Amino acid sequence: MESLWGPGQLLGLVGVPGLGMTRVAVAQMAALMGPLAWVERPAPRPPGRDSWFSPAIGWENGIEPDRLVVVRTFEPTSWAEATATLMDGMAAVCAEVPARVPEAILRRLAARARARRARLILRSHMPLPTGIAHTVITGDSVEWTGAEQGRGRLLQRRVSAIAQGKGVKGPALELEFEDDGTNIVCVVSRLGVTTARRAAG
Amino acid sequence: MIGPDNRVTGVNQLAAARGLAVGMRRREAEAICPEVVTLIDDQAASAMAFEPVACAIEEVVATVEVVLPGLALAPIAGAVSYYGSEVEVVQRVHEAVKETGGGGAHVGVARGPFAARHAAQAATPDAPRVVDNDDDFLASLDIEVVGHEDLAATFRWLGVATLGELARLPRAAIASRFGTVGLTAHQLASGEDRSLRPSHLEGPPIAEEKFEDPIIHLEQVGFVARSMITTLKMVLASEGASPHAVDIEAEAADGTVRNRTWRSPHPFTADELTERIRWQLHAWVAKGGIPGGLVRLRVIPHEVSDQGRQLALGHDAIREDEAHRALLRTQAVVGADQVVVARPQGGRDPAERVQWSRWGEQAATPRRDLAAPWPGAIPRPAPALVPEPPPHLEVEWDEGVPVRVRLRSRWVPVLSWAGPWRKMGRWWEGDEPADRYQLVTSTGALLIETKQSRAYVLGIYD
Repeated sequence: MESLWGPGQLLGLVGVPGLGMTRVAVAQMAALMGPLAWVERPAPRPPGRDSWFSPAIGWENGIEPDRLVVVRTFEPTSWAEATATLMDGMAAVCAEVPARVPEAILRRLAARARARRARLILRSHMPLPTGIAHTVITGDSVEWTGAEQGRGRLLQRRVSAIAQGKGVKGPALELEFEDDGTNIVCVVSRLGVTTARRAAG
Repeated sequence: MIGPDNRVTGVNQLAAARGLAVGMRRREAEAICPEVVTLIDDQAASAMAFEPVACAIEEVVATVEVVLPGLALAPIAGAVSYYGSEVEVVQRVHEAVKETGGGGAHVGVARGPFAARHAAQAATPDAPRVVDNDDDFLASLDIEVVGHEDLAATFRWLGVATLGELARLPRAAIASRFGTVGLTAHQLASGEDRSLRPSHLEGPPIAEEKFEDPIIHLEQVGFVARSMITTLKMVLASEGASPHAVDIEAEAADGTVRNRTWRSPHPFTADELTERIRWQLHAWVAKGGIPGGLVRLRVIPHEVSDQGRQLALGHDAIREDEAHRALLRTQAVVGADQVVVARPQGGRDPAERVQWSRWGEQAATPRRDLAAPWPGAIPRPAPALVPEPPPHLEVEWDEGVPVRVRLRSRWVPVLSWAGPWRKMGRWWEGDEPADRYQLVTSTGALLIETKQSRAYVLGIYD
């Protein structure tokens, strides 16, 4: 999959679980060399977490198990602090944005990513504040193939999404991804990528 | 003997009898014994002086590993079988060392190197210490032997004064509170100081240099050794590995071959290895062991562990270091338990196929065999989100066919579905059989499990 971001840039991936944005995040990280971190959304102490990121999708995309570190947090302050700390040393960080996190915290994280030339993905269920991310991709719909009324199994999905932000270099664009679980391909895209030299924000 | 930090690094018997001890400040030692003669610690000279002692021990036991000048480890299982008892071996070692003029040798015998080293410290020149029960011996040691002053002070402040008290604390709690340093201390306290994570190298690389003109001046060897070790470390680092022990082998112009093993409790750095080669060669030359000059030098790494690798593809040493520091700081923010890595293992459900462990900690052996067939396993792709524990999901069925599901507050139709994949579970342990389905809705796909007429979400394909 083509790279949608560069050093110092923040990529926003927005959409409720099921629209395939976690897979897009993993595919973007898998293309990089070096250690990767996934910061989970703050959740009540177990038992009671509602969703845990499964590293198996990273392995299916070619990320070596030792290369991916998962960080679990229990409240927004430690979530932000952990994300900021990880940006100092990891090749890329993907942070699941907690609900009702103050906008100021997200802006500070974006500023830190720019200052440290770190690659940061914010994976959010809700829209991100305007101007934070270099590119925001919002999942729109998903179609699965392979499962047929009791026969077969899930094989491939086609995800429709909208891209906005400075990385798009123009009005919002429609994207379509084809994803078979191990490879994700952007089949419809006019997205300009990784050439911006100015920081977003 | 005074080290670079102005502390006592070694004392002879007379000084010890006057109350001087290793670790004391120089001023304190001179105050206790004003007539003491202090010498600046020269490790190269110490290595030279220690070489005859290592050779003498080698006369009794097959293998000697030098840790530092003055400290050697020797596995004695073979010698015990040959001589009949540990006491006999110890006596022979003691006598052999005595004959070299090293009358003050402290000899200790225990199961692991850490315990053996402290057994030797607890011994006297006249009375070697043979530890019968390692657990009891370790339990009796003061907490300061963990070798980390701040950590020992914190343990003491918390009321943990001995290794025994530390070992009785739950390891998970120690690792969570003190991170990698605490975990290492707990392993030492539990007698697990040989727990290397072997790195799977097919024939570790050997650094070798041959000299057409025999080298007489050892300063020349220093430059050659540094270059050899730098190359060796780079080759090992590219495999994510690091040596804990090395064989240094030197061939003299007359064909004599010398060999000595050096060991370190932590992976050797390039500087440490170069230094040990220099010490060893000085020691051999001083003894006349390299007649005619050096014509070949080999360094063979042993006990190669993966501690040279923090993260698998971080071959860039600077990045590895930065990542390591960032993760340590993250552990301080969220707790060591919350910074985790996962490894694949066998299983039928997505949650079963992932084995979690704390970052920086040795991963446990997978509980489920990855190579086993696992009939009934859910086929790829894996769901991106795996709820734990699986939450209940309301599903409406029509004659065994899922019709719609309730997502949050609204019902959405099931567009298509696959399955069921039957899981029998461990029925002999009371596990209920379960059926797993993949359900496709307009907002994505779910993996669900039904048992006892109730449905649960096993995964979300995000």
